[in-house]
Amino acid sequence: MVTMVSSGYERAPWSPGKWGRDGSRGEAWVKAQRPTARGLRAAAGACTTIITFPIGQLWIVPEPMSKPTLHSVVTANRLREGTVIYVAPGPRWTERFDEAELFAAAEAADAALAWAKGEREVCGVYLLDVGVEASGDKKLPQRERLRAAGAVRVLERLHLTAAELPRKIARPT
Amino acid sequence: MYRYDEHDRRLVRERALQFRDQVRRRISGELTEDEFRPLRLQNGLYLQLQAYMLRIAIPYGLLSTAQLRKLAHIARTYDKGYGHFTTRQNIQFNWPELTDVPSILDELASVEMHAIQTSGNCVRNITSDPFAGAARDELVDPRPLCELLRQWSTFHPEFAFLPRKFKIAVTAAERDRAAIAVHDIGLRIVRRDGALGVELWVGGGQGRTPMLAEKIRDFVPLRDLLSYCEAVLRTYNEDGRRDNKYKARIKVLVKETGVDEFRRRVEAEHARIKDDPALVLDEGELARISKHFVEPPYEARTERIDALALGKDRALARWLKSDVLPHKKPGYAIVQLSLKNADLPPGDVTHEQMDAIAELADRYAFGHVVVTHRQNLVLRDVRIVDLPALHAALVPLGLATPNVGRPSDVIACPGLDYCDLANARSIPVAMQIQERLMKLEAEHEVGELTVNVSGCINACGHHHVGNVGVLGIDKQGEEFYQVMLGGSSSEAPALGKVLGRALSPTEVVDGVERVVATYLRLRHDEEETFLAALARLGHDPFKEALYGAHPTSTRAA
Repeated sequence: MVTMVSSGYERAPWSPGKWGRDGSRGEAWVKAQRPTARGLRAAAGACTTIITFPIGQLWIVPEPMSKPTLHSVVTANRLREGTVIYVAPGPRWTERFDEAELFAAAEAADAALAWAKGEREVCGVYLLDVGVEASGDKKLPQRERLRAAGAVRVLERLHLTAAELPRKIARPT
Repeated sequence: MYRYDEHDRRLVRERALQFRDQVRRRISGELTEDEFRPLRLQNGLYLQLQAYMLRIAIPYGLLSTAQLRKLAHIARTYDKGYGHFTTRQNIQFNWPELTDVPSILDELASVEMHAIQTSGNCVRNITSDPFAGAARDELVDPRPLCELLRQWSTFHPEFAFLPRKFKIAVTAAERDRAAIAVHDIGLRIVRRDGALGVELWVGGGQGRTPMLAEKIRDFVPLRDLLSYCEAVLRTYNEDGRRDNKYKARIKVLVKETGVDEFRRRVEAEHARIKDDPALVLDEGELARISKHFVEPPYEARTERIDALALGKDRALARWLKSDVLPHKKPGYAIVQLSLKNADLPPGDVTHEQMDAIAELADRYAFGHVVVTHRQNLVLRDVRIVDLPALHAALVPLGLATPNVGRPSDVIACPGLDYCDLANARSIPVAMQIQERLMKLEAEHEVGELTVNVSGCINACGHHHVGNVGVLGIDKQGEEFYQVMLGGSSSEAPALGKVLGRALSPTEVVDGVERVVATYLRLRHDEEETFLAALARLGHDPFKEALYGAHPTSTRAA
């Protein structure tokens, strides 16, 4: 019996993104729990070890998952209108999250934070954690996803599903 | 309604002028953000997730049409064309620019409004019964006392830096439409031996430690009203905790010291100050304020609401049944304008709607509009004969949804769409719940049932006192929602009880719909309210409805 099949980050129940980026959280977890032929193949492909017990139970030990690496981004609000902004390489300010500089080292992040705090036309400066996956995708908590979406009127957002919202953020128009 | 005297006018104008200079100094860099923050908060200006938010006080929810038109103008000129009415009878604008705020304050001052004490650890807007002055079940009009308390608490030098914010609500009616049990001070105006006075409740509140208020005095004569409130606030100011923000509200002090000891301290302070001439309520002063709240020139009329409802117009009949209430004057009605429709977030009103409402209030309601703590509006004094015409005018404005007090009249705080404190969004969940429940209401006579949604434990959406309360929480950066049942802010107040594990946004919408459907299935008859059914059946059937076959699943635990 397969007790756990995990073929990657999206389905890993212990990962920060818990139930994937597509908004179908619970469903993805249930799928991950259910051993299917496809799941087994996927898992076998990702596995380094298959252990067979004498009583016939099969344990599939997944390859150590590629956890997202933690980076920092410096964010703030523009003083005059409150617009969300990020520190981009330069350093300069940008309203686009995808242009924000990702800091892997604490020292670099702190230096950018200090620069940001010295800027006159901004307020509410802080560091936020971003999980960067091997694919380059960035993981943000919901609060930061909403900030990154920009000043979209709530009503416009309402028509976006939970699954669409992060996608919209990933490709700002 | 109360009109400013020269003193009021000067205070408000000066404050706007001061803020203009403070903003100038902030922009020029003379003031740091740390220095500027308390200054802007004292003027109701918050920095939210991606914009500033300006909270404007509406004392006891009462607006003149000139004020409402001014709010429409502000929404149009300085914001994105809409405003949000809150559960504290205030209005918030969500997108003002910092440099425009001084001009907004000037505009507000021109119609006797301001944003003073809408933030910070001071006495906030005094709230009251939205039907005040028109309710059949009220002893007297509570608004003169509200106004008196507003004047006493505005710029009170001793209470500008309390341990934490302080909220006062006043009612004079049998039915509590002001939620006095969940306020720091709740006042119920009562009569004893022919004299008016107040029953005084202290230490109610929601937030992370919800508590119902304790009655500390059965009767405070009007003469002593201000001195008694002053004694309560002094005791709190002196003894309230300042070491921990989360334990700083008066409710924690009352709980920790015990109500008897708290009462003893208040009484001791009161004995000391009750004859201070500055605090003795002068009958002349009350009479002066009361003159601002005289009855409008009602006509002698005899029409009845139920007679109108018998006509062929079923939409009108449904609206009359849910949104229109009897008035103390024969031939008049209290009309509630539902701000809960499918088009806008709960409590949001566009500038076009505000202008149109002002027009209708001028034509049909003596030029006044009241904001309710359930985020709806009230036209207080409408002739019954005018109701069909008013209904016809409200329908195209989207303000005649026949659901006030019904489940789809969902309260919701701004949530994570706007608010810096929120953990989860309220508006999308509230609107989806609303849409589902509207369908149920179309099929059944659901009756009174309240659904309240908050995006965090600060409980601006009053989830603790919703018959069905929904609380947004953050689990590892994702939104989840707890459901609680059994709360009420009525004259029989109660705090809801959490049913179990938190649900995903989709699950919670389905779950709340199933909870309401379960009530409809299990109730004895249409007379049995949700709370009565819950008391009879217990939480189990509703828990089962909410979680189905997986009550303890760890999916979202």
